[in-house]
Amino acid sequence: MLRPYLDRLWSLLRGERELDEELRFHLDKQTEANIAAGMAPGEARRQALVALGGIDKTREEYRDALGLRMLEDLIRDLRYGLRQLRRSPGFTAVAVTTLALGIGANTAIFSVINAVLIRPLPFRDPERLMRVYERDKGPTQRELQPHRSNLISTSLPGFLEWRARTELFEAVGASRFFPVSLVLTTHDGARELSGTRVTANFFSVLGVQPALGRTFAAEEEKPGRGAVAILSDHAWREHFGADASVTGRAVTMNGRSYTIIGVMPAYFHYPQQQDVWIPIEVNDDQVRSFVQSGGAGQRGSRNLEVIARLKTDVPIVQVETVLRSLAQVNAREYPASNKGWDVAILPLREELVGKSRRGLLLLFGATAFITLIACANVANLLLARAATRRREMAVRAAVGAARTRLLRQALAEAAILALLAAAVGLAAGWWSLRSIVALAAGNVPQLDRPQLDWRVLCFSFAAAALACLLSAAASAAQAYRTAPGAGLKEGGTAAGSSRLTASFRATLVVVELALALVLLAGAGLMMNTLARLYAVELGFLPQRLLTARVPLPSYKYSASGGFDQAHARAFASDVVGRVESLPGVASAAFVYPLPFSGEQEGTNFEIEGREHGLLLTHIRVATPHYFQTLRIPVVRGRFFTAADGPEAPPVVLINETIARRMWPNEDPVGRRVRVKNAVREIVGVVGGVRHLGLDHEPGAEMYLPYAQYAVYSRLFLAVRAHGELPALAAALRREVMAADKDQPVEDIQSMDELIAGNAAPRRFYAMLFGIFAGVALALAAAGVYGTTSYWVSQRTHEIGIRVAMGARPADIYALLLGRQLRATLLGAVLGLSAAIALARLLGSLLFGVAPADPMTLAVATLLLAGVALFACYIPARRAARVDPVVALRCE
Amino acid sequence: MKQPKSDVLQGTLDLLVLKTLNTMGPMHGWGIAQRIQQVSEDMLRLNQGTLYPALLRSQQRGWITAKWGVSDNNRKAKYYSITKAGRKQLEQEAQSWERMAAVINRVLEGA
Repeated sequence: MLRPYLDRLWSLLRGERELDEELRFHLDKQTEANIAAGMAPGEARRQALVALGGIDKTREEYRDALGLRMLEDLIRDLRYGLRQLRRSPGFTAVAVTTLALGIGANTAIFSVINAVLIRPLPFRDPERLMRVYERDKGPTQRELQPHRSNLISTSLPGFLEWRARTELFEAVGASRFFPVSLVLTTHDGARELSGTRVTANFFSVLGVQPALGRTFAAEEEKPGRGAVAILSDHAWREHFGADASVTGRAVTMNGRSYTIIGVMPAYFHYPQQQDVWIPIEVNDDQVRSFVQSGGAGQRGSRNLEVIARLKTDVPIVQVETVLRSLAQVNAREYPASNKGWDVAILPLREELVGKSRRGLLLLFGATAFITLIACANVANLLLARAATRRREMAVRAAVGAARTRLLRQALAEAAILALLAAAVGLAAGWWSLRSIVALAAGNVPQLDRPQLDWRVLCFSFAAAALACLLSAAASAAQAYRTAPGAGLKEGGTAAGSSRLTASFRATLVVVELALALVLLAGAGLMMNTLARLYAVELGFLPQRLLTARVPLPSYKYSASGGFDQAHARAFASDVVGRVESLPGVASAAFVYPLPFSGEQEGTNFEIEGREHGLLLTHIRVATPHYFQTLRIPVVRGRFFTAADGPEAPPVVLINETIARRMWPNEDPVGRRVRVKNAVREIVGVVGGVRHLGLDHEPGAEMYLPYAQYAVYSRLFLAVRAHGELPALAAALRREVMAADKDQPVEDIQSMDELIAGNAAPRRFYAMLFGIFAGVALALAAAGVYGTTSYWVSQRTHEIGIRVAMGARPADIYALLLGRQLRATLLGAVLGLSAAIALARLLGSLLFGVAPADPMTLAVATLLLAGVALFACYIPARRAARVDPVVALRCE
Repeated sequence: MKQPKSDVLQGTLDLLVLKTLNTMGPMHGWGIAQRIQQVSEDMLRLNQGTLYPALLRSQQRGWITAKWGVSDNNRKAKYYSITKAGRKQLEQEAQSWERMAAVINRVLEGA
């Protein structure tokens, strides 16, 4: 079946050379025959030539049959297709734009999803990398830290036990859960770097090579040998000027000298966004005590995050079984630390991308909707247009055009359409990708290397092309199938539309409207969420508030008893004094932790003279001017003052939440509570603050004066300014350094920026949903416009009759709009049901809005109906203006 | 596209080629020309040259296929064979000729 095509292709390639050979053979044979018949050689040759006839003519005919035919047909079909498309520029523009959106948006989102979810991690054999956790099945931790999942780090003994399981693991490495604050002192100030302590084999377990230098050697884990550090690419660029000769350099961090031995590549920032990796100190004593105590060690101290590389061919199930039984043994032997603890193993990929999976899949769903709408629109347009040209097709069929010819032309047109759309779509997709990446910056991991995925582009293009070609083929086939006479008869175009295609097209429009409504509802819900988020009562005034992180370096504040509180107190009051004397500053204060900083501290407390269960609260320390700096109101009693010093009686402030709950009908001021190892007197009640985020109501909060509880070194400075903030930043840094030149000041931001950062993920989704909904609406409107236009053009005759019979323009409008209203209602019903079902998927993205919020759904529906009716109005106007005389005459 | 000299003549030639290949099996162009001349007893004197474009067109229509081979005196020649589609075409054409002949006969006799 394929032979003729292959033959043709082959002939095209071989060209005329084959003919020449054949003619030569023919001549020779004829000459031989002539000689055999008795002619002289010369005469034989001449006669042979005569018999052959005009060679030039033969060649010409051959060439005709050979090359031109195929190529000529193709070119002619394409030119015809182009001409048809140019003749209806509106149709072409709409179709191309529609498809391009479907192809472009689809590809951009696919590429994002691919980069984040599917593309393999840049580690060696990433599928064998597992995170191993201890899992707490008991309820203890959850009260204080409700946002921490119950997958916890393990202890050193735990890690050593797992590491010993060489039949399961090729290698096991670990990092410490809590980051290390490393203060880098240079000649022009101090910077705080965040560091992670890791085992020496950490990088080789992951299978990552450094960009410069080397990674840790095994003996660098031993005490005294660990004065080496590896930089992240980010830190290398920011603090060391991307100097290639940085390896081997000695730097001072936390007062100690470290040698920089390497720099990691830009894409690598595991396990946290740290600047530096330094070796864990696993000293032989710890290991020895572990062995000697028969495995007891410090099992309750869980701070190692373990990453393990499975041996090939070891199934995860086996690993789980072995480690679980080990955990059970431990639970029996060391009940104090291990009772109720289990083991969990997760692929590394899960940890890295788990959080963004839901959001991305939502986006993918939305974009799939758009693509469906786009394809439906184009199919609709093509079918409608084909129906308009049935007459023409019928005529050509009657005159003898081959069925394949008609089909080929329809396909050529569809192909051109698809190619145009692909070109525009590629550009649109590339642009969308860049926008998405810019919007997502930092919120979504692994999105730093965005690329348009070619496979997906081809897939989308193929899908769109298929939609085009199928519609074209269907319409051409249908045109040909009609009995030749039928199409030619009077009213051939009007009555010619088969009922099947008409209802199919109507269904398409209804489906489009439904899909658009779902997206509109999603966008509406997200926008509603954002509005409510921004309208919440924060409990403090964020405007003109500048914040900074001032981490006190531990090596400067160590005293015999541990943290040098006196030094810290002195430093804090020194800095506050200096900053407050700056022009443009109303007040300043230190606090830990700062609202919207992402950090929180909790503790339990007891009320003196009462029986009660476990009471938990957030706790903060602050210098006296904190409350006026943040404009947190005092409801009863007073704020801290300078008098609340280390020698003065211990005091505490509680917030309204605690006051209401614990002293509902009394004044708590004067009561005493036991918190943080001292009995303190309540001197005031302050307003609650949204600390963790816009969507977290204020919980129980207590404040202690820093002067009386200066144990925290991770301080935040808050400054209320009279005027503009940016100018203040430099001055702030200057004052702090004047107090202590080796003190780093990090993350100077306004409170507004911190809050915006908190809302950023939702803003991202709201914007994307909004864009999608807008596109879907535009597409659906185009679909409605297209089909209504077509409907009107088909029924011009009928409309003319109506008008001649006395119909007024209003009646025509009513006819058309009524039709559209029915379709819109149907679409709305479908869309609403789908929206209500799917909105639940938005889950925790929503705030203050129920997934089936009636207001949002109502607005979305009205918007859809309005747009649909408007899209229908323009062709309706054309219909109403139909001049009956002209209408009746045409056809 | 330029019309060939005479559609009827061309169609007839195609038919003759198909019949020849069907009866004689694979042949090269010269062989086909000889055979047609033999069978038609020189009545159809055509420019042998027109055979080759006709063979190409039949190839394009899928009625015959071509393959380069070696002739009986060791020279390279292009051999043509009929395909299934070609046989079907032959049958149809033959039938339609017969019908036409029968109609014309009737007309001639009846008039």
